[in-house]
Amino acid sequence: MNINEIKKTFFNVNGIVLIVALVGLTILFSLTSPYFFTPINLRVIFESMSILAILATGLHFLLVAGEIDISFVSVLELSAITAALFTPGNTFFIILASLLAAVAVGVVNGFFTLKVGIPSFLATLATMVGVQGIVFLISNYRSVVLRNDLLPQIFYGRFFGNIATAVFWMIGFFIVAGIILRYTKFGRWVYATGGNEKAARLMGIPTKMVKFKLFIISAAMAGVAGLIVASRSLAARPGMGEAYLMPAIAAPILGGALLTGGRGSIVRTALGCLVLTIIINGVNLLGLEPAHQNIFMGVILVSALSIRSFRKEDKEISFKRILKFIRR
Amino acid sequence: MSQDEGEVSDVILECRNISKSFDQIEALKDVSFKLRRGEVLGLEGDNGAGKSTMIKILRGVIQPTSGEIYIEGKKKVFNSPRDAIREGIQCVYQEAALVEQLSVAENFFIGQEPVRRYANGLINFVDFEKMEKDSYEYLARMGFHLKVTDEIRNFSGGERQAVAVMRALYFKPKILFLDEPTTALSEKAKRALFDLLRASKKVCPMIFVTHDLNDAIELCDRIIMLRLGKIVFEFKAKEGLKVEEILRYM
Repeated sequence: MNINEIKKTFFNVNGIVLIVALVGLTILFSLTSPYFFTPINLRVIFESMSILAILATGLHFLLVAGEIDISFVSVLELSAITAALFTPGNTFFIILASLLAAVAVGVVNGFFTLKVGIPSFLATLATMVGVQGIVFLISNYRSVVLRNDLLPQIFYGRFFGNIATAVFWMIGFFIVAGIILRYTKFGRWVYATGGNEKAARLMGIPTKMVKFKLFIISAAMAGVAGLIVASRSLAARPGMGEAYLMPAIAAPILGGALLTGGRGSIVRTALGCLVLTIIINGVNLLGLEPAHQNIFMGVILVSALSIRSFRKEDKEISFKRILKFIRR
Repeated sequence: MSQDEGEVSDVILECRNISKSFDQIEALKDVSFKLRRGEVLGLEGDNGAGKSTMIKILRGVIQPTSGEIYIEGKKKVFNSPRDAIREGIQCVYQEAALVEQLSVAENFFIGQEPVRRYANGLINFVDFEKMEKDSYEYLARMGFHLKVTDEIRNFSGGERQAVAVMRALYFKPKILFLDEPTTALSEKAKRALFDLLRASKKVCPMIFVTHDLNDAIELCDRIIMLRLGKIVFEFKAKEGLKVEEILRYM
């Protein structure tokens, strides 16, 4: 990242809102809870963030291309249940089966959105419900224990400084996603497709193929998240992905992704995930009811969107303008 | 070499009996014409005459209901704009086909980004340095000294159109289609564009679609007039036909 890219990422409405929220929440929870700003809790925050971040990264690709996938909740559960049902067994085979199950849902989403022409929100809403039903049936409405030693080690083992491997998976996915979106042809085509699909198609970009691949990427990421969730709790059960629905969509949007496509920064999506995880963690530490998490998240999201719509343009903001705004 | 052989080798694009229907509406009816090397062919006609439909077919955006397209004597079927680009066909669209959120340089190379290869071609990264350098230099040739790293939405209509035209020429196309390319240009920019197109036509034959007859007569060697999807008149621009005479056929 050169200085121009850093400026472009942080010195705009979305970047500043995120930084203000991050600093504000850190100060608030540090003052109200002695346990918040401690090394152990910071580790807990990043470990909790990992699942949300992997889901949000998959979704980030689709949002940049102007599509959405809300079936990731069920895909996460399907992947987790598939892994649990195949244990004990060959670990490689279990991972492959889980990811194939997830990718199959991505293929279905892509088919109904791009071939049949159903808007992605509706198509993935339908698959979310349908896959949820499958998850209930194959799990027999119960928790399934994960009876494999290696799988939890791969996805939630603690090898480096007692930090769960999920954190490293998250960092790896962020780096790879950032490189793909910024430096590869495919990544630039994702932005072009979301920015002006007609122009992109006229200029020879296979926009439908780009989107189809993104539905598969999003589903595969949800599949990985499912394996992490199952590895963390050593079991899989229907409904275990529901808590991620709102934050995984909110994180890229907080980071500046538009539902209409063409915009979005993976760094800001990562910051969005961090802000939302801090809210969840802080509210838990304060011993407040989970309902307070929703209130906090709702306030942060609606504030960010209001400021964005007030500002309209997503241009860089100079320090002078920020000072002028504060003084006013 | 016989006269026929000479003509065949001279023809770079041939459309034979192209028809296109949208439900009950016939947008093109049995249209046939040839584009020769070194020439600029004008496509004239009112709104709904079928000019844009013809360009869309030649560019692979839509497929003809019937008829055939030949490039250098070989029959071609274009199922997408990418197929046409692979055959060396570039196009400047009326609406410029630009992505607002991307930079000038990225719009210049959209869909055909140069890459740097690493690890024996296993990893390919977009070559932004080349994109920025080449796009700046090419645009400067037409008198546009733009900050190519800025998003294209920050530029005027003329500057945007210059990007659309110059990117088409940059790829040294076999054939260039220009669909109303002067719409957003100032008189000065239009002159610069026409000079550039005249200089380029020897290596890159063109089909020029415009409403402006004076522009067509000034730039084109031959003009085909379409009306309600049919060719009604064809003439050589240098034969001194008066605008009033041409208007009779419109």
